[in-house]
Amino acid sequence: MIASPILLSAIAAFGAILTLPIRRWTRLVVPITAAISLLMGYLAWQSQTGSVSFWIGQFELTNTVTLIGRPLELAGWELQLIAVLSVAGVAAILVAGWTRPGDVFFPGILAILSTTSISLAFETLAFKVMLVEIVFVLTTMLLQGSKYGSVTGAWRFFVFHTLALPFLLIAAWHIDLFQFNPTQPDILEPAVILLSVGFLVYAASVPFHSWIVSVTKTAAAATQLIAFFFVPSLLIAVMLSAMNQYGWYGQSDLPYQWFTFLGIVTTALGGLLILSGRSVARIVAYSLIIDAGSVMMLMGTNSRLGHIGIWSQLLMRFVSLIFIVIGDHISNERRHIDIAPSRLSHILVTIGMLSLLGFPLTPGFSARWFSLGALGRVNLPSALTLLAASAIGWIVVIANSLKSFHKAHEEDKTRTQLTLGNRISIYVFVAANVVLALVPTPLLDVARKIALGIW
Amino acid sequence: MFDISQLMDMFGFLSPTVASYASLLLALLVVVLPEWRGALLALMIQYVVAGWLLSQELAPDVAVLKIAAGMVICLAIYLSARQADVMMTKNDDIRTRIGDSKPSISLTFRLIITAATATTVVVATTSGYLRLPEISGPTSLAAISAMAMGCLALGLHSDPLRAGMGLLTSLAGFDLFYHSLEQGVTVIGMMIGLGLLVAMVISYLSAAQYLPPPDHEENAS
Repeated sequence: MIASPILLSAIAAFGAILTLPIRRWTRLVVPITAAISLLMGYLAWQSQTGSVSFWIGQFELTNTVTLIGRPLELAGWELQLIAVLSVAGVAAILVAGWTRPGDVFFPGILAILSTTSISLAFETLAFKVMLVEIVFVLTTMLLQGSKYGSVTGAWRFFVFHTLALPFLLIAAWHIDLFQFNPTQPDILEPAVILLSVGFLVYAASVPFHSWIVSVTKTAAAATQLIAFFFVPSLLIAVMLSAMNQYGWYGQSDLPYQWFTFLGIVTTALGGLLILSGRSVARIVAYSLIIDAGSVMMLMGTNSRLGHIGIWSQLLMRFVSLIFIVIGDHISNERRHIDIAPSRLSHILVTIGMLSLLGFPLTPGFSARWFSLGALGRVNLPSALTLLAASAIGWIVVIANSLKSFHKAHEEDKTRTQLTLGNRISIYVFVAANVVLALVPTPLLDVARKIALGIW
Repeated sequence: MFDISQLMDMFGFLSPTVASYASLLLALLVVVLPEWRGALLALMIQYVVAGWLLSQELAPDVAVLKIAAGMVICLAIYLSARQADVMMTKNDDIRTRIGDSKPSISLTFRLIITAATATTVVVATTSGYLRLPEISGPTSLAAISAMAMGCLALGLHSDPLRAGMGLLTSLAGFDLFYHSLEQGVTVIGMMIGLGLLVAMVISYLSAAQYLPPPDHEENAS
């Protein structure tokens, strides 16, 4: 019998150690890292059935184990989440192999997957929170990469996330104390407040949102996939599992009221700030602030639909960011050789930004409209705030894209003659966008399974 | 045979009250001192004082371990800061780049704001208005002052080296409070590990900030 929490973490950790010495040989390290990530996803998926088959035989798996005297358990939804993160990891690794965000990316992403799976398995909040802090450390290293110069993005990411640590550790102490004194429920009153404050810091609520702008401005595009998809997925999982695990917290009104109120404020602020967005980095940052606000409002609904909306938005955020990362990379490559950004990069970045804001006929549309429906049933003002912020974002993105498209067109008239490869790439990416927009069911199904698993 | 309690006895002249005010003063110096070496020395002594205060609540061996971890943290930061200093001295363009990006918060302003914060903390804790649960008054004063001053340093400094020292001061204050509550060996071990990781991030970002651009290296070679 093999313990899946240990197995999943150990495979990714071993992969990180293995790829560290060969991290600079991109052609070698990319397939190895992607294969390890895929294997991890397969094992996580198979762990739900309790056994895994290879050509060398069949192995029995158990999802419960005790480590350093603490219980470790991976529930079905946690295994599904690890599988999703591992498959998304493969996509991120392939994109990074092309965009080259820094050689520490490849061992780094495996180390993050390893720490993520072990932190999800720990039942004790204090240990979970400390392991999440290790994920922040690793992400900070990736965000900076081997870049010189500005460190603002990586530093702010680290500081703003670390601020949650004291609140959550003290809350964990109160929870432990309550287990020894179950007849004294007043012990839990500070825990509710401390958990809520810590979780709001994790959720990038106002005023803990400013790191988002710094990261989009300074970090390499591919590493932003980690900061804006992998890390938030882990944090949302930690928050929702705490609400589920601690009935007294999940049944208290205070966290939901705070999440709804600060979610509305964050979304509204993102909607206002996006009006001043003139660069891609800023528009993406403000779109992400709107998205973070909407996730908080969805958490505030405390409903089944709200949970599905959260995971749908996170998955579609990943897809949108992939478009932006590829577009941004093409644009940078051309700038390096003193050529204005191509039509292809403009189209990809525009699709990504519109998708992030849930524009119709983009991948993000289904998730955003699902979330609006989930919010509208419980709290109409929050749905209207999200709709207004998204609509402002669409106008700003379209206006800016048209302006920069015309500017680039005038700067480089030769690009009116598109090469065949360029033309095919545009068709492929636009078709992928339309397919993802019109057939969102597979991704929404994954989101539904994870959400219902927690619910 | 060497006994750790003998080592702690060397600080017998300290009383918890004196140690808590010393901690406040050292945290204040971390924020105010313009030169990083002075601030790092203050942080180092802060770890010793915090360790001594912890020895009143925890086993002396564990407190000594915390002090040792603090020394390693300070050493790591010293090495990276020194490396950064060398890079800055060698390359004028880096000095210009970093120099321009620093906010111009004057010493006078830092002094006024830290003095105001320190006064507020002392008045609030000694009057009993603000006191952390489950720990003695002096430890509470030391913990709150270190956390407050650390947060202040985070706000007043933008570069990872100085702001990082603020973060470490803040975490040292939090450690004082948290370990008085939670005394499990595993938790203490993990907190020591986290402290070292935080120091690693600060060292890494401090060094990365002062690295020359790739084309600069090529020209030099």
